[in-house]
Amino acid sequence: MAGFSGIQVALQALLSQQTALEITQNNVANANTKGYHRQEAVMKAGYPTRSMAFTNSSGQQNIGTGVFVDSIRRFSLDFYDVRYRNQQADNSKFSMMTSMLTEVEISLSDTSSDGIAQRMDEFFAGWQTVATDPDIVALRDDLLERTRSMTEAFNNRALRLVQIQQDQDLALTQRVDDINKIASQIGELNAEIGRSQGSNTQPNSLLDERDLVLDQLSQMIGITSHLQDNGQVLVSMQGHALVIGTRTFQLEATPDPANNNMVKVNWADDPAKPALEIQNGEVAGILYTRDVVMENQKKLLNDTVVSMMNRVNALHRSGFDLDGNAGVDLFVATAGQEALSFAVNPAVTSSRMLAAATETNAQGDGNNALAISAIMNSATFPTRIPPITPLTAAEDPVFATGEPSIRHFNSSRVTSLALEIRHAKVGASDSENLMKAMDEQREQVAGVNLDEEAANMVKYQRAYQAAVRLMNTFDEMLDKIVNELGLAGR
Amino acid sequence: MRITNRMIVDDSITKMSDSLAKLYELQKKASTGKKYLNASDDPSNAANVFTLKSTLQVSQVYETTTLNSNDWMEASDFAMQHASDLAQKAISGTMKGLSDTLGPEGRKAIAAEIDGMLKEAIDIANTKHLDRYIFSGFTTNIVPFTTTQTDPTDPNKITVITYKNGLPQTFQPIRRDVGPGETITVNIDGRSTFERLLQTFINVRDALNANDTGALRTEATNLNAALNDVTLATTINGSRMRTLEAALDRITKSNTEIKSLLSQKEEVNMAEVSALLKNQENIYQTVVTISSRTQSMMNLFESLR
Repeated sequence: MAGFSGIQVALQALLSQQTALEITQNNVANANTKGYHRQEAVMKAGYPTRSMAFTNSSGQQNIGTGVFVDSIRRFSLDFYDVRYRNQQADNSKFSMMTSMLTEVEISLSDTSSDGIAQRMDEFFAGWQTVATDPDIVALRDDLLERTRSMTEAFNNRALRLVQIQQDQDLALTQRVDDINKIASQIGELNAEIGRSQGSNTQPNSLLDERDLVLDQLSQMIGITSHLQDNGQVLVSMQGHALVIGTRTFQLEATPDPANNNMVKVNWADDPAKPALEIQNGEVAGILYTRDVVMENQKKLLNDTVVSMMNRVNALHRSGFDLDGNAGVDLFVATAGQEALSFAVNPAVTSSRMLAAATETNAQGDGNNALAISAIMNSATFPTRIPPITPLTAAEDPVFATGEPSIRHFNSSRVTSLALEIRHAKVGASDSENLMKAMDEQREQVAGVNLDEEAANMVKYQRAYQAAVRLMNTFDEMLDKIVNELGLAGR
Repeated sequence: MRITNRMIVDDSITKMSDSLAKLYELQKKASTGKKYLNASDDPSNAANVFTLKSTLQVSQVYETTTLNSNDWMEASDFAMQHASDLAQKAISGTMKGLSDTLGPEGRKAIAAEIDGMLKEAIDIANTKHLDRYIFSGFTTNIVPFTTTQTDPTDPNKITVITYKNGLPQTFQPIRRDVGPGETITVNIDGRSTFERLLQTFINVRDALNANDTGALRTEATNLNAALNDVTLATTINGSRMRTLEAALDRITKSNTEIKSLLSQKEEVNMAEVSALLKNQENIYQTVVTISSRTQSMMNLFESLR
């Protein structure tokens, strides 16, 4: 070894240990930083140089030139990142569904004492009571009041459903904006990462940031990400790129005339603007709840109203009121929005006009009222002269489903919503468990363990101290050569 | 397995919130006394409860109907008992009138008595219950028997009885639902029950006034037939009342049963819930204690000197 290189080796060791210690310090500082991946100094032994030696016959030998920090390793496993994001997209879909559907369930309040089922029961029981004493006006007044509160119950539920749908429409538009923002952010990060990778240094903090926004993105919408050789990430959705390199493709939320002008999600660059069928992420949760579950609830409510209205109206028209006049329609509703516009026919101005009798001028006859109270559970009309025309499938959608009872139809509506919520809750908790497991796997690799860092700290500190000692030793050796050699004979 | 500090913290947070969530569920059950608040908590049970509630509502109306019908039928029964008493009195009056020892004056006195009975019988046949004529079929607002006075010498003398003038004469049965598919007719045909009685009263009175024992003898037979009409109607009404009583008994029982089923399905077992709550409380305490221990553990940094 040539005399002065020992000091150089010691210096390199000193600097390398110092760098390693600084990385340890950074790890400790970021122990709780979201998205931080633990780092480590990758040290390498210096390449040996040939030096003159007198200890072997060839006169040459290879001695290492100390240590240097080759790179700063960032602990990450792409595999777990991808798995984690998939689970997260699944979980956020179900969580979104759970929270929206719970809101729907609370708004419909079917199990409360003023639920639709209760109101319908009260309405039909009201007819039953009027059938008992059709000539007592107080009972008729009560029935008319019950009829009004039943129609209001339907209006109210339908209105709340529409309001929730509108709120979610807005939420959807905001999500699409967020997704576009994140996509451009990823594009920018890609650009910077590409540049740093070119200069052969690891842009660890940029990588951490990009992983974090990818996590955020996957929460909103199901994505596929692929790491390219140049360090840039390619993000795509259903085969269409969202981010390629530094270029991003925008999503758009456009009103869909085919779906009550509620927004659909489509690619901005697609001229036909077909709605995307998104399977995962919060956006998927919103779309499914808004377009499938809530639309179904609205449809079932409308069907209930249509059947009830047409059945009751047909019978009501066949009867006679307290003053001997033929009955008119009891209910009116606007086609297509039956539950929302369900109301007592404005022509029915007093409870005397409720057609409880099957014969004219028959005050004590409650047979029509009795028939109306029974029509809730049956789709066939009693024999009348002239006969009542049977309802078509469009006029009696409840019966068209094979279910004669409006009451059962309503409870299956409630049950179907309850089961959707069940399904969403189970899905959310299952995917959360998987997501946690994936996160744990990630954390196992990328997380900071303080004990480990403390041990490393001591390790690097001791090595640093040793390197200083080494340098001292060489210094003393040189001192001998420089200051004490060649003094003979002075 | 490599464990990091965040894993320990995250895990204890998850466990604590899981445990707290279970505690919250139990607390909700205990404080509301209900097994579930929303249908989604227990979908199949909720569907059952819906059905039970509707059944109960309908059944409660049956109960009211039965009670009201009973009132109506008791009113009918009372009226018919009264009418049959009158008929019997009229029969003994007629028998007296047939006696040879009685002169025309005596017969006129009996005739006056019969005329009083006629008026009373008309009142009975026009009985009202809750302001409704009970023997008038569907037309409960129209008086069933109207009277006409055609005798110019006595404008108060009822000579003709008309049943529901100008209205359908056939019996209009008022039916009431007292159970699923179980109806009961509550009213009695006023015409078949009272028309002959009233007409015979007129005839008896006139025969007595005319001192015509031959006609009176014929009317005595008619009076017996009229009494039979009333008795028959009373019997029919009586047997209906018994049916009604049985129905009421059944409805009351089934209502009680439905209510107890409902409470079984809807209400929590408090003893069970409070035991579970206590247990969950212990679990939660343990989780919190463990979390606090793991989190306050010294790490290597603190032990190094």
